[in-house]
Amino acid sequence: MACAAGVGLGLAGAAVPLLSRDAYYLDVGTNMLEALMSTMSLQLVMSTGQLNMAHVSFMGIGAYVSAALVMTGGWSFWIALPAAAMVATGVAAVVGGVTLRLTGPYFFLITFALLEVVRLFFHTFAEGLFGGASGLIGVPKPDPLRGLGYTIDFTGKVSLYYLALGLWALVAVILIRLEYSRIGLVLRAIRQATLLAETVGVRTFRYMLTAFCLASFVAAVVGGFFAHSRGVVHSTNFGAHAMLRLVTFVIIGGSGSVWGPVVGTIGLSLVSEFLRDLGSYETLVYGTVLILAMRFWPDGIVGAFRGIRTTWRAASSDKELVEEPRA
Amino acid sequence: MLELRRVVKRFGGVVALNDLSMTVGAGEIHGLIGPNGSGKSTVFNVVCGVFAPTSGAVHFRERDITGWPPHRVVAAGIGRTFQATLLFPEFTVEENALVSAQISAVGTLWDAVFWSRRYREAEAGIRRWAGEVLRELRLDALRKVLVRDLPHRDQKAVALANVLATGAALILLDEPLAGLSLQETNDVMDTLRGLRQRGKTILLVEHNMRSVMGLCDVITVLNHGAKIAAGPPAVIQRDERVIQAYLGAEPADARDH
Amino acid sequence: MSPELFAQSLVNGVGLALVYALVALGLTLIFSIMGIINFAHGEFFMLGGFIAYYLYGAYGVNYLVTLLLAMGIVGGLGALAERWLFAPIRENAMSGFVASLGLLWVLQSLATLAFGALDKAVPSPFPGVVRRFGVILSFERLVVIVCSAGLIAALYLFIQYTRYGLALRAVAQDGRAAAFQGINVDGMSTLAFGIGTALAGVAGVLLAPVFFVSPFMGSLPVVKAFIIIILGGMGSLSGAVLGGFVLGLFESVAPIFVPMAAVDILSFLVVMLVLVVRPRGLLGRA
Repeated sequence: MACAAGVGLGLAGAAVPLLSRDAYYLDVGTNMLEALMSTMSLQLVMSTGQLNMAHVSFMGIGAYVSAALVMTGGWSFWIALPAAAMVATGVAAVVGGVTLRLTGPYFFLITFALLEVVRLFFHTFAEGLFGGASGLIGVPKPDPLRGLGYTIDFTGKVSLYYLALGLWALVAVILIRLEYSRIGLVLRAIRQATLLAETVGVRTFRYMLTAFCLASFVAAVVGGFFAHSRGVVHSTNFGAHAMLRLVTFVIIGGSGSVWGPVVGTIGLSLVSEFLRDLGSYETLVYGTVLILAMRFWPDGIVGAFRGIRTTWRAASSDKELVEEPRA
Repeated sequence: MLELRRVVKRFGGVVALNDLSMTVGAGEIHGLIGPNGSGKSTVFNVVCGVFAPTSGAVHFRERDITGWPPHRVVAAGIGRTFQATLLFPEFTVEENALVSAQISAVGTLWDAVFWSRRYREAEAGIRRWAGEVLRELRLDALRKVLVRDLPHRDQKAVALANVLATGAALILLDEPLAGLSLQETNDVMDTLRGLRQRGKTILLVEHNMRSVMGLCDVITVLNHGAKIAAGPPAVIQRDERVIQAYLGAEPADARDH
Repeated sequence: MSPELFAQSLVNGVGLALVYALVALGLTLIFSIMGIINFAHGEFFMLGGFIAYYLYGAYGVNYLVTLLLAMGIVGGLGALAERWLFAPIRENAMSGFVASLGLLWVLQSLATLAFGALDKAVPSPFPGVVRRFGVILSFERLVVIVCSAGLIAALYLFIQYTRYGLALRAVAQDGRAAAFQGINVDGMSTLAFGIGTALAGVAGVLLAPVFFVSPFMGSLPVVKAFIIIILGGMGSLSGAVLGGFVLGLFESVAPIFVPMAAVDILSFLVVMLVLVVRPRGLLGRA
């Protein structure tokens, strides 16, 4: 069933440019794909019970490092992006190694501090590489790909959109597979009862660190794509506001499963497109939705949906209990 | 099988375990009793690696496991339950067992993502094993039920399933009979005897004296963190020091269930 | 670098430190009683600022009366928020934080829609300066120092010597035990939230004439407040005051030696260090 949903989404996504070549829709679509990858990877970390406020920082590292490698180092995008992602993952391994020993509010706070440190770092230092306070402009688009007699050019929005779609498909396959595998089960177990997980032999720290690094890798890839597709990078793209937006998408959709961010991101992105010109009204709506969601549906949309489904199932399995002779 | 050698555990100024030496033989059901505060939970925590002893050693199957972290202790073959029945509350019975059965699994992240042969075989193996454990404990029919919807006695059974699914050879049970009716208590005692028959070793902490005397092969009595007596139930029941220790404790400890 | 410059920086620092401490005190009080990290705390500060702008600035209400009114209004709103939003979702820590995020956005956007996004100036109620030993201190700043210090002292007396303060301390230590003692834990949570937000509101009134008033003026103080309570120890009131001084003085003196941007990075790096090495901060409980 999950397969069907995933494939369905993929097909729907592939169909978009066929329906409209309008730059506006392609932009919305590309933004949504970026947001989907960011939120789905964020949810991977949140499934272990940790709220990683520095997720966008790894996007930033991916963006800035990739841009710098191409612009200052003369590298090809196709090498710079993976390299930047590796750098970000390396940083994540070190940071995660230190911070994942903390839990709950402390982990949240330390990653929030990291968010600011990284943002300020790119804002202030190495202006030659990262553009400083005014940001980096003129980041080139991905180099054209040549092969089999064809050349794919990435100067147009359509090809960039498909690149984003391709990346998303890869990320989605990995994350959805994980969710339904025993690894996903263990991650969710860690969030529910960390001590118990340890007691049955789960190396919780290792799982949390792996999830953290994988999520950061994906974030960095998104960041790199973000930089090269837009051509401009600024430290405010990777600050608290961007992070909180991602958190909102995940929470409203439901932080308990990979489908939560899918629902939350698509739903809220569409809502925010309608409210785009209304400035503060958008924030007001986000805030109100968040408050209502937390007050009445803390497990998010997907969680609420599953809760209903489980209640139905339990009601029907009650019958089993009555009929089966109890030893 | 399990040996504590002169274990001392201090928490700040409080001495929880005072030069404690005790032995649990393979294949026995061993009771650990004593008034409240005598250090029984601390013994469990030290054995399982929740804390390291201040001094002294813990040996399991001839290996020194002193100070090993919890996951290593579990991998070595020791499992435990908790006084407050700990389960994965949002999971079903089956999912609880699956998590615990993971311990025997091989394969990495990539195996899972790409659904390799190794992963699929390991997965099938885990499911089979978890199923067996659940069948043993007669939880098979409740496989798909959420654990938080289960009655207390079934929740305790799931907690036990979690331990067994890790393949533990030595099982530490923290008050396995607490909160159970007379019938349920007898059921659990039968289950434990069945485990002993299959070669498991059990160390349990219990306050229900009648059950302890009826179930255990050997009993160790603690008071103030030190061992004051050890031996078969018949001997323990008549031991002066044991009776003395309990005279100061709650009447509930000696009350017949 | 002259001693005068240093002394001037110190003096400026003290005023700022005390106001930050007020905000931090509110935040840490809420955390100690409810375990909630109130992200929206800065918005109550902002509300105080707007109350000052309208009541005092536009309608000419006496400044000190404005102070008291702000305490009441902002504290009342805080208590309401606690009753309706935070109390029912107490068990889930992440929900509380996310809910406060939602509240932040709601308050900020409402303020922008109602008052406009531009900075507004509030006239100074106490014009003039004092000059001593080559150091300049505006009366404004002096009033800020005196009022903040007074409020902190009042809070201390309240916590230490009144029945309610005792109840609050009991709940902070062990909520369940406190409930068994007959303490109305729910009521204490509301009280803590009310007092905490009232303090933030007062801080807003105090700083309004010194800086500008805008819907976004709460963002900075709340971040500083977080830094302070981490340094001082989350849940510790004296830690909040101590942390306030440490940060206030550091921020005033460090820019003499190091560029401003580096000062900010340093603050956050120190926070990270504290959280890793000594999560309970300077004065927090283990």
